Amino acid sequence: MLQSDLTALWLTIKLAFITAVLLLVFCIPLAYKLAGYNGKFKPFLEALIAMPLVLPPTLLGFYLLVLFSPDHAFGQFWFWLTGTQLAFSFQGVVIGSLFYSLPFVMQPLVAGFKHINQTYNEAAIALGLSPFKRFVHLIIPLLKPSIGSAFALGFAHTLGEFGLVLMIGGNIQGQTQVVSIALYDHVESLNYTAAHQLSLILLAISFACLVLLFKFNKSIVGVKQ
Amino acid sequence: MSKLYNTWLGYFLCVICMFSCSVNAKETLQVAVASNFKTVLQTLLKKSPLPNIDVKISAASSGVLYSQIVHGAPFDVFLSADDFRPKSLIKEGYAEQSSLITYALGELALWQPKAEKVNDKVAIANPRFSPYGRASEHYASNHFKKPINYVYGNNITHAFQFVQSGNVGVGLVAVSSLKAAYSNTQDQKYLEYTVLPTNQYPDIIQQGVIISSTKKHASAKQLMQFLMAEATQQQLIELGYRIKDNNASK
Repeated sequence: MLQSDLTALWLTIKLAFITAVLLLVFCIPLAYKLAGYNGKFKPFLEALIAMPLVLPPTLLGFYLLVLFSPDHAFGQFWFWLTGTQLAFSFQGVVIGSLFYSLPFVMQPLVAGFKHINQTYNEAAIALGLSPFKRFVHLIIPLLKPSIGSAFALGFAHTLGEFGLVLMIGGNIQGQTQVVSIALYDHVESLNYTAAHQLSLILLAISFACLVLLFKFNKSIVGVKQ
Repeated sequence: MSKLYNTWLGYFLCVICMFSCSVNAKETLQVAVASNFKTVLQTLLKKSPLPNIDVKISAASSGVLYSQIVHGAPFDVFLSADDFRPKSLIKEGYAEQSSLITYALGELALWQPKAEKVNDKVAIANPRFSPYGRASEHYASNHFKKPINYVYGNNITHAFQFVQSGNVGVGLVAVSSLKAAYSNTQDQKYLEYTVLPTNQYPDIIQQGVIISSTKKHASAKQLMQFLMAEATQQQLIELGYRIKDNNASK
């Protein structure tokens, strides 16, 4: 196995992990609000969140490339803030992945919040717990299985990300050359042996992650029951 | 009832057959084209359509098309962006040796649309599999101050997009991309380039072959002849390519 493939593998796992964690941080409060919201904009909000499911990733990547450009206000703002450029950097790929995997984290969370038994919540209200305390000590523990699946889905979906990174990445080793891109490179340069090896490893890692997370998830559900 | 139904179905099929026959008066040729040549081929064919041939273009990167052909994709002609893949296909028996043509030579330009420096990055096509990329890397390593911060485009058009979108200040791009962009938009920034001296990078040889499994040999040959015709080759020069002086010595 090539050194560059190992770098790509590590980078991909790092990317998937950071993306899934960041998405959880953003999505848990948002999903909480969304699950409790029943106004007329609800279908629009839900559709907006589901958009990355239907948009081709290359299209998403192309517009992010435009957005990241120093010609664009957002690109300028980021440069002013950090002194670095978003396109062709690891941070840029993370931002792209946040959009790309958003629905996969958001939807299990929203569904989880909806299914929380309201009697617990009412009991907590009767006991005089503040909304914040209820959120931290009651709702989050009840939500654990949903958080587990949200993380698993976000992580797994980011592992296989391709079109978006292809557009905004620039194929830089250790920065933006994730496994899918390295695989594509091998296939493009007709190096099928390396491609087979790398895809087998990716397959094994993805499978192991999913098995672990589903097992972990199940045990949580088991304890609750 | 079912008999009546069958009669109507028969009429229907008859009409379909007649209709499809009249449509198929032209022979359909499936042509696999490297992405960077797709619009060029369309332009060429629009200007002087081939009589009796309906060219259907499937565009992808040369590597993907190569894999598809090896695995039995129903293409009649393959126009690659390099010379390595058509030759491999011939060696492995998937393409006809006698049909090999060098239909164009790629031409590189240094493109820096803005005077001020955006960053120290240089956009080129990926040298691992793009002949444009290999030529670009060769040129850059001889002429640019090191170390060079490359940003690799998936192909030469992608490298062009990196500069076009303003994310990279300097790029080594195809003259054909610049000319196509200028003719579409008339934007002056597509004229701010320097054509690189052709003796300072290896030739970017774009070759085409007829696929062995084709059943439309005559039409395939006609397309190859069209590409090599004097008028077509002259047009390719206008569109930003170079041509090979002597195709006998390929």
